[in-house]
Amino acid sequence: MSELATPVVTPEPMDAVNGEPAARHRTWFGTVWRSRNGRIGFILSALVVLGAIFGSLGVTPYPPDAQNFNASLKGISLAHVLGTDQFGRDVFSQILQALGVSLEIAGISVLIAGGIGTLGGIVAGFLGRWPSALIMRVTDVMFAIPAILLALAIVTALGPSIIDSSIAIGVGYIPIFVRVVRGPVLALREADFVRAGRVLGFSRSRLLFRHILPSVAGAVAVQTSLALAWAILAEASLSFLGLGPPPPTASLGEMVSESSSLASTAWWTLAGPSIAIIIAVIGFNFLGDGLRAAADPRSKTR
Amino acid sequence: MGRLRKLRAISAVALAGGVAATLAGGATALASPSAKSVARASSSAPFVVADSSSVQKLDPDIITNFLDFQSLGLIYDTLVEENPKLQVAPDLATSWTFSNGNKALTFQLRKGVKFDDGSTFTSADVVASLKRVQAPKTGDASASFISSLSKVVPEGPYAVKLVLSHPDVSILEGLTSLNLAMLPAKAIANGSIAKKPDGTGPFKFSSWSPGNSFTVVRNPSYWGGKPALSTIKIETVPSEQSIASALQAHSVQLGLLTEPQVATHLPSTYKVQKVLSLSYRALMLQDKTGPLANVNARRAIACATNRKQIVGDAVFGQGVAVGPVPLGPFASNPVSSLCPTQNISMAKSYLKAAGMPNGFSFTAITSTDLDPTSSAQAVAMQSQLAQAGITMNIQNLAGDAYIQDWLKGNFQAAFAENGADPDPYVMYGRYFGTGANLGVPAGYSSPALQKLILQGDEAASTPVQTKLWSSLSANLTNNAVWIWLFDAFNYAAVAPNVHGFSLSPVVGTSLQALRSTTIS
Repeated sequence: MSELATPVVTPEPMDAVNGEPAARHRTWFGTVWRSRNGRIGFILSALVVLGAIFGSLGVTPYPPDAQNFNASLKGISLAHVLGTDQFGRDVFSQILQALGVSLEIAGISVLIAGGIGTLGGIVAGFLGRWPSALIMRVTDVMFAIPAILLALAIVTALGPSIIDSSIAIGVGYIPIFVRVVRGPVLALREADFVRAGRVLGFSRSRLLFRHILPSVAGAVAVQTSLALAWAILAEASLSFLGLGPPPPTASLGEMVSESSSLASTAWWTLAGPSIAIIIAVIGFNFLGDGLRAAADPRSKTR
Repeated sequence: MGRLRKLRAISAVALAGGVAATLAGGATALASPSAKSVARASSSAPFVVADSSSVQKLDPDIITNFLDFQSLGLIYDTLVEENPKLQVAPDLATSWTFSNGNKALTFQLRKGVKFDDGSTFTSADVVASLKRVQAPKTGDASASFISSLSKVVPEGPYAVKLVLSHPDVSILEGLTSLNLAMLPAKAIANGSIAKKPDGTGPFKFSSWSPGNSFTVVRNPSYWGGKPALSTIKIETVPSEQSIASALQAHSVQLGLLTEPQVATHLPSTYKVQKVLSLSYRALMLQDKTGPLANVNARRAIACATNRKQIVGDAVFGQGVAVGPVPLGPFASNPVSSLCPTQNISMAKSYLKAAGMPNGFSFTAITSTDLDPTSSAQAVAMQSQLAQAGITMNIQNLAGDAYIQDWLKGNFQAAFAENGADPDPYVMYGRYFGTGANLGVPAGYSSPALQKLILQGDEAASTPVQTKLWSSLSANLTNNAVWIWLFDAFNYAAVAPNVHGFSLSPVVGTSLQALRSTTIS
């Protein structure tokens, strides 16, 4: 059994198929790091994740929601590295907390989208016929509605909170995962090792979850990283429109929204959260690019 | 693949770079369609007024939104109006006299006034209009202003006598409200008021696109002389920052602003007018259920509130902390007889007395659509209340949702901007008086308060009134019926080619100067 299982849990057999076994010794991380975009993405993403962890744990220079009437709209200084807002709150501390919230929402929404979407894609690709038709038509319908519009409608119905925002954003990205996963599964279901599994009498669920799922993990990982970037952007957009978590929870979009009228007098209140969004989106996009390179057997040989 | 990767890298940078610009400049982007759709100022192009709110209703008797007052104030007239010096001045009535110990008020009506439908304004219209105000099914937002009115007697076509149930000089002040506008008797009978405004004012109704714009055209037969502006379009621009962008793009001739940080950073070519508005901000409380039914819990909120800080945070110090009566001869002084300034230890004492030593939580609604500063007020107050252990959750609502919930009293607490008046009876009779028509959103009633309001209204001499209205302020703040916060400045950014416009402190009629405004 293990002879059959081993080749499908990692992408190495694909290399072997292409006659390029030299890449076997290189780890995924090594390949990601070797790519310039992957390197930048990893560093930026790590910074974002680190900031989010500090923010979530409350390890911030000042309590994020602590107001100080006497320190209202103070510029960048050693005491406040990114200045203060109109309530005298430390912008850097607020950004750390907001990153935690953003990443939490993005993480949960990607978990929802990735979980349901991957399952849907596998089922649609492997079973074919009417389950595939049904899943793909539902996906087509969902694709017809812009994800942000769908998220807006859902969060308006459910109300603004971390969980509701996560559901709203996650549902919008399910179709992308379905399509990303279904394609490779269609190819894999006719692969030799799957046919061999069938001959040996493996159950459908065993074939699906022990052999096919690991083989599409690379594509899912790439899509997850990209979806994280989009989810952070979607969360910022919802918060910008006032549909994010309510105060005192900080959120990047709301910070941008509230400080937009202060751009000419206190630019730092706008610059801080905007740059944080930029770093997070670039970071996860580039990391996705690096992961894609790692999952691509051809790029490993370069 | 390398090229693809590069492309993705570039697109990611472009996407992310666009985030800040898109989000921060969202305001500008939102403004641009209006900039395109609105022609630049010229004699034929509409005169564009920008406001972050939108017109909600067309029936002047039931409106509560400030922009509704401002917009419909261009179409309708009242018997008397409040001038910028806060004095009662003639409008459709040219003169008036009180008689029978202030129990009768006779108006002489203006002659030669025509409604937009061509009919002539007479005493029959006054009778029909005031009867409509009093009819419970109308749901007039200011019906209590004329609660003392027992009979309207026409004295010929151009005179009308109001017979009052008790001496009531405040009724004159009440009749300045647009909620008591003069409507054509025919339209009242037809039931067409809520669909097609028909007034005697300087402008006629042209079109209304809910949530977007409200347009009026000049009334050539206006009794006060033909206005110079042919068309006025009141556009809803979602944020004040967007209004600033629209002003810079010269697509707007008049921007109505409340945020000082926007108003004070406009191009110097714009004349920015600033007036302390005849309105006040308050946290209205529903005092009948939940923790807020406990007077000591409400007192704890009052004592934990730092008004000065809220003025600093929400309007950058451009306002003054006020009590229930913000201005005029009967202004509340001090702003609160309970805790004029923040007193956290007192707040905690009240919490103990309320049997909630560890605090309590409640939810307050705001609407940045209606008052852009309300969110900042809420955030500032949330932090102050937390110092005493009180948790205030904030729920921001769209403008129409807020108004619906407010009217139904469907809230625990609401950050509100309410119209003020030098006469306390006009301000609070409709909230706390006997048969108050806004008693539901007011959320509180007490016989003592009703008695005070009635006595103040009936009082014949100023010293007696001063004493009674002072007691009213004390009653309201001692019981922490609401938490009165501050009075702030309103701003109007006027394009350089606009002449003759001056912003009135009377919020409801602040656009009336447009009837004599010209554009070069």
